[in-house]
Amino acid sequence: MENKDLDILVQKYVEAQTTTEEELVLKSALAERKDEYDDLQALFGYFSQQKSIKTPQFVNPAFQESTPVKRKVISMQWVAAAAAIAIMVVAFFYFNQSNAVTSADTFTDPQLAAENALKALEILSSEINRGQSIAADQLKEFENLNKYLNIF
Amino acid sequence: MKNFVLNLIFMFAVLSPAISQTGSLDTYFSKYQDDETFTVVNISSSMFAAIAGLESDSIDPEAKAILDNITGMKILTKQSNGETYFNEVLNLIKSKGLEEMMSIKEKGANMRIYGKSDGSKYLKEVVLLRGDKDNFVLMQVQGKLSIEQLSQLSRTLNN
Repeated sequence: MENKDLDILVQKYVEAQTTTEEELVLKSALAERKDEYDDLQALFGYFSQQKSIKTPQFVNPAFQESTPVKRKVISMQWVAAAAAIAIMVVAFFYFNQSNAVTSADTFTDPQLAAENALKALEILSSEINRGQSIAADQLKEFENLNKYLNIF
Repeated sequence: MKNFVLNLIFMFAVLSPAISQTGSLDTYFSKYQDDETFTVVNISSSMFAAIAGLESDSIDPEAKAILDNITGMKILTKQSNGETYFNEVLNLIKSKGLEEMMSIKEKGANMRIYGKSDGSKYLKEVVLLRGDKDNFVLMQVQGKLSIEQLSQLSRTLNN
């Protein structure tokens, strides 16, 4: 490369007008003439030195990669089934509870309980008899009607 | 998935009244058991077992035979508004598998007797419901009962 061309290239480089290819050309040209262009030599030397410095790998404790814990995936179907069973169990106890409340005995003495139960049964019995007698009366009336109809 | 959950909710919504209906009469008793204006009598199966074990001369043997076959009795009475409660229970009983056995309707007074058959000639449940202006009676008797036996009882006791 002519010195004149190189000068132009250097000038362009300083003004930051060079393309990447031109920079590569400049770099190789400068490498051939180690005695000239001291300023630029120093600059390029600095760059290549920078490249060779390896930045140490720091481990940031804040970004420590946690080993992913394998979670068991429970399917929604099982969850729903379990929920359904839970609901039914709760419902069963809920509805049974109301029945259990009523089972408190009114009497503690069997003799007294028997007497009261009999009184109640007597009412039931008399009601049944009342119903039967009414039914019998109506049957009689029905028979009377039949008799009456049979005359004609 | 969404359908499955919806079906479940639907099923539960349909089932829950069915579950609650099985004990509807019991629920009715418990509804009023703490009400001071009602008189509640409850005799449990264990008490009837104790009655069966009684050796008493004061109880008529025929009456005792009926008592021995009873496993539970509940009575609810009130001295007013009988017609209101009568109708209330009437609506409940319709969904309980009880058959109407007797119905008397007189001036301002209603009486019904319901029974639930045990599959043979006996009844496993008899319900008496009576209501007029001043009285309300709901009686539920469970066990092994027969109408003939019950009908005979008042004659036995009154002689």
